[in-house]
Amino acid sequence: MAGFSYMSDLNMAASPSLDPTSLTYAIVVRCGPHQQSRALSAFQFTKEVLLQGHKVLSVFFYQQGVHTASGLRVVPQDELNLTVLWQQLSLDYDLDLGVCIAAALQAGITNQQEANRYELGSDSLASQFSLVGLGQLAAACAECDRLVSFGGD
Amino acid sequence: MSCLITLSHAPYGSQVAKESLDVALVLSAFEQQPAVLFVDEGVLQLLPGSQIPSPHKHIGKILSALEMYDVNELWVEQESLDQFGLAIDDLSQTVNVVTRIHLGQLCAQYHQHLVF
Amino acid sequence: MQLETDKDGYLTHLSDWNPDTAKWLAHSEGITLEAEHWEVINALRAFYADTGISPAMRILVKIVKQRVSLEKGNSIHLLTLFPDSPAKLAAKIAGLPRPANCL
Repeated sequence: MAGFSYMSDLNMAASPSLDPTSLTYAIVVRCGPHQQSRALSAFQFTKEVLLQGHKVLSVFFYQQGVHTASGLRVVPQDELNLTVLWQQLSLDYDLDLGVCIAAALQAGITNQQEANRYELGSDSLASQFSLVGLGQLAAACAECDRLVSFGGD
Repeated sequence: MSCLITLSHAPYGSQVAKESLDVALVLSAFEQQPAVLFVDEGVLQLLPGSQIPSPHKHIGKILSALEMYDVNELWVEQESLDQFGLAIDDLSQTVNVVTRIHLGQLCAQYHQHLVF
Repeated sequence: MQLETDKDGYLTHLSDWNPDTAKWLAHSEGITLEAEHWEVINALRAFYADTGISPAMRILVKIVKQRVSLEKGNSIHLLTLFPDSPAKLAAKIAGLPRPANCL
């Protein structure tokens, strides 16, 4: 983005190690798992924040990020499986992984309830992830100390 | 808890512009009353409907609902307007103008900043 | 009348909507459309035509306030006309897409 690149630094927020007090974070993942380096940054940042003892209210997967929640992705053995990484982090820290329902449904990522509603063949949402509305993002934005978003393009 | 949403995508080529604007509307439903800043290709969202390619007119339509959602504070970056040869009068919405050099100051006024 | 709807009763093809369709949709929800229903339906359809948004309750109330009357723009009135979930029910009968919940 010409002339606006410094904003993406703001976007990444300060490193949690600079904050002595415990903060509440909200994480937004807009990049797809195929954008390995960015998607991995999102995961690693979240993990680091949790390791440092801060609280993560929720992780919200939006736009391309919804693909992380697909239980049907085949990942080459020599690549990191971000779906599995997030699932494990969610189990370890009781982390809320919300996936924008509108974007997910459009991408063919659906849970059983929606699959029934729309009479689709099957469901595809990976475990630990849940379909939620944009309202979850809004609520997290309102409640957290710091919202960190990992961009799309 | 004030929030600024920055929109930098053109209203065509992908769904990103619409999805990003949806976030602004939803935030207002949670009494966040976000301010919206249009930069780079984002300013193209403010073109009158007649000038947006036909299948993508929906952005202009959604913008017309901003007032209903109490999203009243709109900003555009002067340099982005210049880049596309646009004047304020060309735009479909009433906006405030901020120059690039003052963007940092503008953003600092908000507690949260979401960049799309 | 043979109309294609999804499992929840929303029209599959929005272009199938006309006033008779609305009556049929309302009937299947146990509602007989009166003038006050039509005020809301028309205001809702006009909003959708203008913005492309199928609004949630909070905005529906505002729409009715602005486009119908101040007195009728409240949730009680809407609940009387469209019980339980006015935004969803009105959208269904008015031939709009399902409201996105948060918008």
